Amino acid sequence: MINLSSLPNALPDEKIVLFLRRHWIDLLRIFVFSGVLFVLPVVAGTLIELANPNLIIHAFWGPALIVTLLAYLLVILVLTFTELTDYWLDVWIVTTERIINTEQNGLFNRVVSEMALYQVQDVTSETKGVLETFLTFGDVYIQTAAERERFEFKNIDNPDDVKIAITGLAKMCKARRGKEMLQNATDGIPE
Amino acid sequence: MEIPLWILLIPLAFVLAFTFLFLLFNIFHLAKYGIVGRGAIGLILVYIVSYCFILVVGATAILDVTWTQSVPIKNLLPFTSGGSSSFGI
Repeated sequence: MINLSSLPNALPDEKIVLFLRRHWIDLLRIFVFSGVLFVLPVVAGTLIELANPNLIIHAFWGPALIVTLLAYLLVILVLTFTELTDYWLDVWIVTTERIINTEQNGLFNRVVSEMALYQVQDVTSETKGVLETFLTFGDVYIQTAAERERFEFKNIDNPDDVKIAITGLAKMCKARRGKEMLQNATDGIPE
Repeated sequence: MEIPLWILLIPLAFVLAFTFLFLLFNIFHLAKYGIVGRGAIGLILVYIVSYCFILVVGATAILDVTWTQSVPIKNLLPFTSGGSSSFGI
């Protein structure tokens, strides 16, 4: 497991400022979708019983229905688990020095990348849609000067506040780095 | 010609193996990549408990069936013809 108090390759005095997950609405979507899929067999069973009450106690089709129902429930349960794991492992950490982006896409596709805050050139927040506007969630895009894929914080809570926080941290980091570089340069000049 | 009921258990065994493997993959991912804390541990417990719950409920229903019984093919259709119940009803 990843320990937040000892991040990999942590710099001295590096502190976690933001720890972000996708908005709870994504979690709700998973539960609602799974809930509907779990209730579906009850509806199907009622319809079957109405259409043919003998089917459920039939010597062959009765056991066949039980086996199908059990298999169906297990598959839905495991698919729900996979979605929950995907949600749980999508994490964005903003420290005083860098941004760590961890994205899980399904079970066998995981992307972990990081970006130093002094490289940040542009931070954009986007809230698009009715639900997003009322529940204040959306995306934040972070672009560096380098020609690399931009970072994307997907469906996070309060994207505007996150944007402001990252912009502020990037400014502070750049100022600190500027001072360090100046100090290094002046240290190198013989008196 | 008759169909033995236990044949139905073969696809179920495959589904069980598949879902159990995926349960393990999920637990592995949470244990390896999750953030240290109660959340990940709680989620792993929820996975195990809910999977076991469905297994136990399913097993209770499955154990009521006499799987050694065979059903004549002519009794499969139409459904209304029934045949002797496998549940001892």
